[in-house]
Amino acid sequence: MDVLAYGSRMVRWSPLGKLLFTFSLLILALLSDNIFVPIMTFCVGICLMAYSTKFKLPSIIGLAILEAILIMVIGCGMVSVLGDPSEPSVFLKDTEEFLWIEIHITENSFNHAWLIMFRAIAGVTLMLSFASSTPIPHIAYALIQLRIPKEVVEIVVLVYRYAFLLLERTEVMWNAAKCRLGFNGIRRSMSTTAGILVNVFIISLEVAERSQPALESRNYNGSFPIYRMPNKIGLYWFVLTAATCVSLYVIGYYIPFPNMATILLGAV
Amino acid sequence: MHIMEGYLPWQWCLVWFVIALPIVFFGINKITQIIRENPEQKMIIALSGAFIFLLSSLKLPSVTGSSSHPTGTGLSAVLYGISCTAFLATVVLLFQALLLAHGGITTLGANIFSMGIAGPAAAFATWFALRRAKLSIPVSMFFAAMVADLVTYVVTALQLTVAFGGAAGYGTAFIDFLTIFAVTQVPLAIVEGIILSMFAKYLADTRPQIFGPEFKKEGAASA
Repeated sequence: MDVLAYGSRMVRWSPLGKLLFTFSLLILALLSDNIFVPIMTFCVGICLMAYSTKFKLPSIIGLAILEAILIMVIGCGMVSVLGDPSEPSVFLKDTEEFLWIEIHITENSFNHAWLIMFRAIAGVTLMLSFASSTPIPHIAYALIQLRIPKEVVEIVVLVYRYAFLLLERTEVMWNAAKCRLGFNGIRRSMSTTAGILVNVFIISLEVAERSQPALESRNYNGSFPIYRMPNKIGLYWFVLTAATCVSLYVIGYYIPFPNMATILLGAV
Repeated sequence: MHIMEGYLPWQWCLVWFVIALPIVFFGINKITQIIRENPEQKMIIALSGAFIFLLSSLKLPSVTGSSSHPTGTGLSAVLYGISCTAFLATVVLLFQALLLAHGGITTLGANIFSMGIAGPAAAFATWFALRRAKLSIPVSMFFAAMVADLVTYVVTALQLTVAFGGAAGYGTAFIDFLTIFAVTQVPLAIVEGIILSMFAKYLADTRPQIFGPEFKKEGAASA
């Protein structure tokens, strides 16, 4: 993700400004009951992602997004079927059971599910537009500006660095085990997985023991240098964020929200 | 299963943040203190966080046909305590939300509570009780990891029920969410328990000092 972020056209933008903008829009999408607001937020997120990455996302992140969408569909499906039994059903004649779940889709529950779906999708695009344009040292810089303790910021950066180091090691061991038919049968798979985890853990302890003196010998003092500093947060970030939030709120307040149950299920 | 971005109403987001933040701040203070007193512990703490990230990124097949992942917090709670685990889980959840679109920022409080506080607390209590009852390290770890996993998912189901159960009735909603999000995790929790139990056995044999000086003898004996 860092490679993607360093190549982003938004890399020099203030990380704190981007964080403020993203967080404000996420909260606004949550506060509004009008489906137009998350839809507009989603559009803002998509535009930022397009500008930042030209949609050149690595396939692993693409798969993660698809998985997140699957989870959203399941989650929103649950909200949809948990309608108030005192209200009329708009999908089936009455409450029906599927496996162990009672299905009672009402107009309100169906509309609510769509609202949540768009909030979730808008959230994903906004968060990814932030992550794909902000390298981890810039995030650390933003956290320091927020007066988070130096030790905590250091741990955050180190967790990020080591997470990918461990993932790489695990992948190598996983492939090696696969070549030796280590995943042949459930019992052997479990044993192999446990063995890989132990070895990764032991390697990680050895890496930890070696890293400290190695970093200290290179004059490491707890901070990671940034050679091209991003811009600092300016007044224009607050103005931009406030203007976007107010416009979205006004849109959400004055434009009547569409009834998804009527549009998709024909409910009157 | 982390609760996704935008799923919880803002009132519940606020409630879970208010509940989770004091424990996370306590963890931050504890970790800051550990690092200031013993700077050499810094790398080990960071690697523990990375290890939780790794474990929660390992996708295992679930009975519903979808995939799910171990939480990894049971092991961390046993080795480093609840508040440190809460802080490390916060960092991991933040990265998962930003980098993998898994979880969210506004739902972070709820996810920290289920995965970083409730699960590890249950794991720690289970581990403590079983070790008191003189059960071996692998058996205690099996139950601690399994309980951490199950409690995480049960608490997630509870969080969703209090947020969305009002219309259909809390009982019905809890059962529905539990069966969707928790009972499908039972095989996964058992698998995680078995894997971490094997893991604990290897560790007890090769590096018993990790479980504290009092376990050194037991580890050497089993080796």
